[in-house]
Amino acid sequence: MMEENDYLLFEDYIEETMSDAAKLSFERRLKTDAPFLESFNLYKEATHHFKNRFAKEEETLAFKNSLNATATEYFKNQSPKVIKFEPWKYATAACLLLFSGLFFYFNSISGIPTYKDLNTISEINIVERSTNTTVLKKAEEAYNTQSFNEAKIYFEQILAKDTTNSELLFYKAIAQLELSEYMEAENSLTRLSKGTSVYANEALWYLALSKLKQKEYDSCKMILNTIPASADTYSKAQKLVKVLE
Amino acid sequence: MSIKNLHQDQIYIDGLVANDSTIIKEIYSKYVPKVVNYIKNNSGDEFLAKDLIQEVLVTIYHQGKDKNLQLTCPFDAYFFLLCKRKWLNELKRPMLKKVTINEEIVSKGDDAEELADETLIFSQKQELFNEMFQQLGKACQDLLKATFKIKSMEEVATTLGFTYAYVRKKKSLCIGELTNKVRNAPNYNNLF
Repeated sequence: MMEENDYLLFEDYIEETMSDAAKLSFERRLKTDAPFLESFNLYKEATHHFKNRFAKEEETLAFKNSLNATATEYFKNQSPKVIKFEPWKYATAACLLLFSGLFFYFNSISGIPTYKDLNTISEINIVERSTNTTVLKKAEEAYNTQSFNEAKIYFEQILAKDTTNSELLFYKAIAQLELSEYMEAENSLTRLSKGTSVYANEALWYLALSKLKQKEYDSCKMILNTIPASADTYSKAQKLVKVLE
Repeated sequence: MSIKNLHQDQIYIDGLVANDSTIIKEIYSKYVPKVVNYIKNNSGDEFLAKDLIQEVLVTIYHQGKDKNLQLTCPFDAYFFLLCKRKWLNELKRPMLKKVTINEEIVSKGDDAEELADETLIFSQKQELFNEMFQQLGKACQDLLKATFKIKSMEEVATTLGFTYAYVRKKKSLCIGELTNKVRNAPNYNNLF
């Protein structure tokens, strides 16, 4: 462990604010003091990393946007998409999270909450801004009237052509969870949780609810603990962990 | 690395670094299909392939930008190896079911292997730095973001309402704290 003063020396050396004499002495120490050298190299690497990360944030974002546009186009051509994933859907996802939050409570009298305590099916709206609406409208209506078997069939029809649509995959998984088709629902939720869509963390939460519904409390806890602190579902996940312990 | 000959496929690295959409499209049309097939043949699907490929290309972009990545082998071999190794790592995660891996179509080549290793280590180091940054207190996070975004330390001090001396000292202590956390990480010795 370095002294506070050593970190100041590292900073001065990297920023080239040292006097010539101090610089010579610093470089001499680098040659003779191995832990000092190791610590300096790590400090320098961290500085370089964060300088690149924060100073070039906009460039990186521009690159990711280009990449995403090309990837979306490429996969659309492999299996033509029915609808596109648009930014407004982040708002839909946020509403979903809000509804989950509003209706979320723990049954403090009977101890462990049930799947029904924690899962609230909110209405979805996936047709309004789409161009090809026939099957989507049927899927939406079926889902909103809680005809989950019917909804699942329509979602599957669309997903057969639009294999990378995270929104539809997410709703299909919830429908399957409602139908207690655990294996299929969990496969979809696992895929979503590993992805980069806005549904990734929400998928982990529903994966945990799937285990809760099957009374597999240990698995439920394990999955809840993988939900990152930055996720909107983190707080309720941690509450559920405490109840399960 | 510098004594080896630069491969003509360096244009792909340079194109990614320059955010050249023509090059990105060429990578997708020429090299992505093989990766997608591999993932689909090894318990994956297009959905997972799409995300994984994007993550790998972002890593190459960062390594090209930050470390001046020099390609000494065909891009195809390097890119495929990277995607393959990342996919195999994903499959090891406990939430995914056990699968049989089809190893037959794995490309071999010393340079490609070496470069893929370097890129994976680079990527893991980046993840470790970012993870430890999240563990710093909010004051340190805000100060470091400001000092790296704004070049002049005097300007940072004015923006944050501190003295120049305080910002300078605090910055070094925050980076010091972060490096201590990195050093205590279980995978530190494998990466540094």
